[in-house]
Amino acid sequence: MKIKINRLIAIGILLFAPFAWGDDFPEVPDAPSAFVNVIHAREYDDRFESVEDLLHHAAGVRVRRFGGLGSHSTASIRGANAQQVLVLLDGVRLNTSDRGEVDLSSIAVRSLEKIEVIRGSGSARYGSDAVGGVIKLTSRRAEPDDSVDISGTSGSLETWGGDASIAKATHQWNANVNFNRLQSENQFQFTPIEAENLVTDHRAKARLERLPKFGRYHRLNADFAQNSGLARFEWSRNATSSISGTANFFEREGGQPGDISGAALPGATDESIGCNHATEDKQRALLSLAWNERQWGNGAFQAQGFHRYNRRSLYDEGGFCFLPIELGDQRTQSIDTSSGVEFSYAGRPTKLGPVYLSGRSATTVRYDTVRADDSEAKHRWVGSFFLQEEVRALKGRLRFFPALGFETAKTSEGLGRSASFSTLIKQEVEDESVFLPRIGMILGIANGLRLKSNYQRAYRRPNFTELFHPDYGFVRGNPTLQPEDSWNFDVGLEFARESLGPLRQVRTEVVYFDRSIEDSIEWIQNEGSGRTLMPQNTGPADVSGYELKTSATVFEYLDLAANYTRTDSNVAATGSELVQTPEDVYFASAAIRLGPAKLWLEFTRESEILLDRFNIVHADAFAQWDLGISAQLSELPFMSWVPRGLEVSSEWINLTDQARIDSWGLPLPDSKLWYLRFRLAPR
Amino acid sequence: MNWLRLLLCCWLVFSDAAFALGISQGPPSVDTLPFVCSAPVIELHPTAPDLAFGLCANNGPGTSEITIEPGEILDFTGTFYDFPADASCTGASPNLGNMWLEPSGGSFKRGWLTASGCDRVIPFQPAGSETILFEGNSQTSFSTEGTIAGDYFQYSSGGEPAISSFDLNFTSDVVRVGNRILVTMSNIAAAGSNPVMNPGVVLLFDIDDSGATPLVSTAAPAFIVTSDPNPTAVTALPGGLAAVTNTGLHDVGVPPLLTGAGSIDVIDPVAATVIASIPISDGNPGSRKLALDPTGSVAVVGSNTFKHLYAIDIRGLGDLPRPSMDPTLQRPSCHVGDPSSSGPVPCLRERVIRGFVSPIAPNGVAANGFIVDLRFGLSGDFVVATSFNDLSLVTVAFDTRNLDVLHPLLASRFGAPESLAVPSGLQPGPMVIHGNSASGAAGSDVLWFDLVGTLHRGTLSGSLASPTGDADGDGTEDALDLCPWVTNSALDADADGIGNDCQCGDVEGDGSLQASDADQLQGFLAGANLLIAPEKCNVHGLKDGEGGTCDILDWVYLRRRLANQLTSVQQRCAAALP
Repeated sequence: MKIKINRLIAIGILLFAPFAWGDDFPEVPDAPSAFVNVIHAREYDDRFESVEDLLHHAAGVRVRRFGGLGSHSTASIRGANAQQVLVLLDGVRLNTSDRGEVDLSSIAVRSLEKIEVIRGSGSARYGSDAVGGVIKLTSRRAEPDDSVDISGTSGSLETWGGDASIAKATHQWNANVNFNRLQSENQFQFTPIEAENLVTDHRAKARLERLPKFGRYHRLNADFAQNSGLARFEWSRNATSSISGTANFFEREGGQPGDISGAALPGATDESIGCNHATEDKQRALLSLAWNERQWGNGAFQAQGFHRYNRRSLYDEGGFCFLPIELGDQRTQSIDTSSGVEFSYAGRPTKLGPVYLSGRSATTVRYDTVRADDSEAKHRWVGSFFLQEEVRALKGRLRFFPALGFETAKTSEGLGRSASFSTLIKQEVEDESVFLPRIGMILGIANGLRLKSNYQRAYRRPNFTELFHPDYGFVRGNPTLQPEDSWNFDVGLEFARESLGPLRQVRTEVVYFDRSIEDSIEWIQNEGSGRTLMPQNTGPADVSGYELKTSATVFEYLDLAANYTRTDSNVAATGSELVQTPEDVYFASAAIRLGPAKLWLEFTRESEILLDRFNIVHADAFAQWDLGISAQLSELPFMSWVPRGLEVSSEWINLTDQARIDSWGLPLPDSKLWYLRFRLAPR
Repeated sequence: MNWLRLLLCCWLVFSDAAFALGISQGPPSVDTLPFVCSAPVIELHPTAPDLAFGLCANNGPGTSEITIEPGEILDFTGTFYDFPADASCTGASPNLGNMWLEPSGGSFKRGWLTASGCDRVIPFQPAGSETILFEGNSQTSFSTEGTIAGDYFQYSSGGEPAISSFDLNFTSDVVRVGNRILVTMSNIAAAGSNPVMNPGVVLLFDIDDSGATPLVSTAAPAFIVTSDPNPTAVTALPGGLAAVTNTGLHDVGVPPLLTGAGSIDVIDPVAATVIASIPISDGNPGSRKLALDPTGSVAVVGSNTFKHLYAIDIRGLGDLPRPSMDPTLQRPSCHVGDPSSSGPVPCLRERVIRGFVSPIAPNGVAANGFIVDLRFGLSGDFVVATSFNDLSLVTVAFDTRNLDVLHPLLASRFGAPESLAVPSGLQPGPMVIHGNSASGAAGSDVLWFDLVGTLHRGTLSGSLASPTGDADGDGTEDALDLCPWVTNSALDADADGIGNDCQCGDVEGDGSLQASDADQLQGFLAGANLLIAPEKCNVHGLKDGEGGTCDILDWVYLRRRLANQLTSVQQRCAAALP
């Protein structure tokens, strides 16, 4: 464990700063001292938004897109990759045990109440995977009044979508049901970015400049259609006891457009590049049932049971798209499930001399399985325990949050090789039991100003794909893989004022963060004769940086928000920065409300990023402008005949026709996209 | 006397240092050259000493001529060969694979490429395509795709019904031997089936380039079936032969496996037949061409799945009889059935010099590793290999003494493998040595591609520890010892490099092979007389102690040798063995 000088200085500031107090800040009960972004999904109901788009509003978060609209997207927090970010829906893990990541495009904004992004590790509470942070999704709650909300969207590239929600509430129960559909031909035009524009060496440019210049192509086989739904209910048995449940499903059928390497060949056409026939189907079903007792002894108790089912099926006719040789039609299917129970208890504060003590605990037992038709079934038992105390002093101005997590696991054996030359044998995984400590502090400095800091251990067990990926000769898992172990530190100032001159709802945050991973897991491509791609522990990786975030409402009709994240990283194995991690990410938005109409403008800028781990190929910096307008039609002049609650909105994405590439290094649409949306939500 | 100890200590330190091999790499602007492409390959220009060709499989497929003059900036000369537009690869990545450069006198004649992505063989010139007449059609490459129909009922398709015809796929390597072009193709497979369990084929083409436009046509027979699956490389051997590297099965989760089992098939392209199979049993041989020493005595291949180097004695292979068999039908692999034979094709296990049984020590980076490429130095007295996952170059000294005679080759010809971490810290792949003419490794440039398509150049310094094996402990190093396993044997009556005491076939015990030896052996086998040196009888079949016997085949081999139908008999008798 390394404690850096800057951490000591920061801890010193915490201990010797003048005492003051502060409140009215967002806090997550399981990690009150964590730095959190809270995005209220309802505020974006007048837009055609995805969860990926909304996450740009959170400092420290970057979305990695693997294609255009509807394509696989993952979240990165403070440089952590998708496997190192835990995503929860109503407390249930969405990260699959097979691949360890979550496709954000499978979640409909309209089914969510809020998105909480906890930056920094959440391992003490949630165990493995929460290395970079946690994204907590809370399903949409029924409002006190019955409501119906229907919308329809049409847009570029033959995109069609719609949502329907109905909510009903009585004094004893409430329920909310939501259904979403989105489909698109998604056949966008693009010009591949010339390879010489991605490299810096003039000699390499000299060779690459000889390549045939790319034409303009259509991205074929990128079409998709997806449906999702979410139902939630809550039944109050009495004033202090309730039972709630969440059911969620998602399904998508989509093409897999493949790479575009064929575009470098003379005479390439739309049909000759990429992959014109492979398809991928995805399904997810989730069921959660919780029993809540708000008066249980001297605290509150919750018991929750859950089951999640994911199925992924890939069909590659002819085997041309994903395999180096023609092995005939390839159909692979993987079913990933997770079931478990969790018991949590939150004690009420107790005064003990000059300090207040309160605590929370949670115990979880989870059983994860993966069944794939190209390998044998695997499973993993995970048990975890979490205990957090809160110690208040100085009338609540100084709060400490010591916490300790414990996680143990038992993973089934799987077929694997200890080395390439070994035969396939049953391999045991080195399951470790780990203690995951955390210490957090909040110090109120003045009214609306406070200092927070956290120091915590984070941990990630290798997922099943990393351990036991079937051996295809050119790719395989690594059963000897060791877990990733890291220490996270952050310190920062929060400022919050409800009113400051002409400003309302002023929120500002300045945070420094640092994470040291002792043994990163990376997939290393063995080009050459073996061409084996396999995950390996590649040694230390350090990430540090700072986050600036501010938002305010000016004169109650102009909403302004901006955030900036600086990320510096170093991977010891390569001596370069982390892949897919820009040093600078800027986001700014402005929304002006003029009576029944609203106009908004958003700006995103990312600096150059490294696409490969060897510091050779970079993607250029990009800046994107998006514009939107919405209006309540019935409240516009001369439009009183329109049904109340009818809203129209229109958006233009990528106003400046910026050419950019996705996280595969493949092009995204380089012209502006538009969406037109009608919504009926009578109140 | 402390100063004496200090002096001795310093001398030991510095004397050790003198044997240490090092590698240095200059600044990236001088000693690296980014190609930025996938699966690159490098080969030296066959005639120009300071030029080489880099090959890109995709992302600008084709070759680039580069200048590699020592001390000067690695750079493109501006001469490029771009993959031709008419190669029928539209819609598929060409995946250009191995490259072979055809030497001809003092000039570059042509190069050959394989494209596994669209199964073609492509001749090229440094600055452009070369037009050939293939089966009468003018074109710049020719296809290796096709379906071969026939009674191939002995091949299975991964548990499915036997196949009676198969598709050709995965063109992996090409070489020209005489007026034959040999092209290695992956496994025999029914269309759409999993081909991993079957052997592969070597396609044969005739070439006539006496005129202005080379004529290429399909030979008869059109193909040879290999002993084991996945023929991935073919190497021209001295004497008009070729060696096909059958990588075998590896990393395939379909039992039953022969993981680790590959082989080298020795082919006579004119006779269109396999004349020997040399099994490599404990690590799949790699998919780059064999490295041949300058005297054509030893070929070295690295393990694709194990960190071993295998040296193979390739002397006298031309003497092997051409078995009478249908080359288009498979005989048993040396890895299955009777270990002594693969049908009419001999299994030459003893040709593998187990110089590197111990895995190469990792460079402190990875436990797994495989040898991507390896080459002999120009002086022939050292080998350099790239060990991919170890991020290192493996260097091995080689003792060249007495290679010109049929002196027994022992493992001690090779020194202990030494790893040199590559200065770049990146996985090294295909590689060449740009040597100096002096003996030893010092001053040689090693040029290797890393996995992201950047060429690196490192210069070797220092020297490798010389091999010093003395198997019988008689004070004479193995490379000079006329009988490495017989103490103090210094006589060699026929001056063939094999001492009197270990001359197999010399059943009379006078140190040379004569007609009287054959007569004595004939009489012995008929029960008419005893032998003076019965331990020297075995010259064919299995070794003594491994099931070898003294039988009539030994007499036949001995008589052939005496009739000059063979240049040597095989050293399998007890007197020549440890």
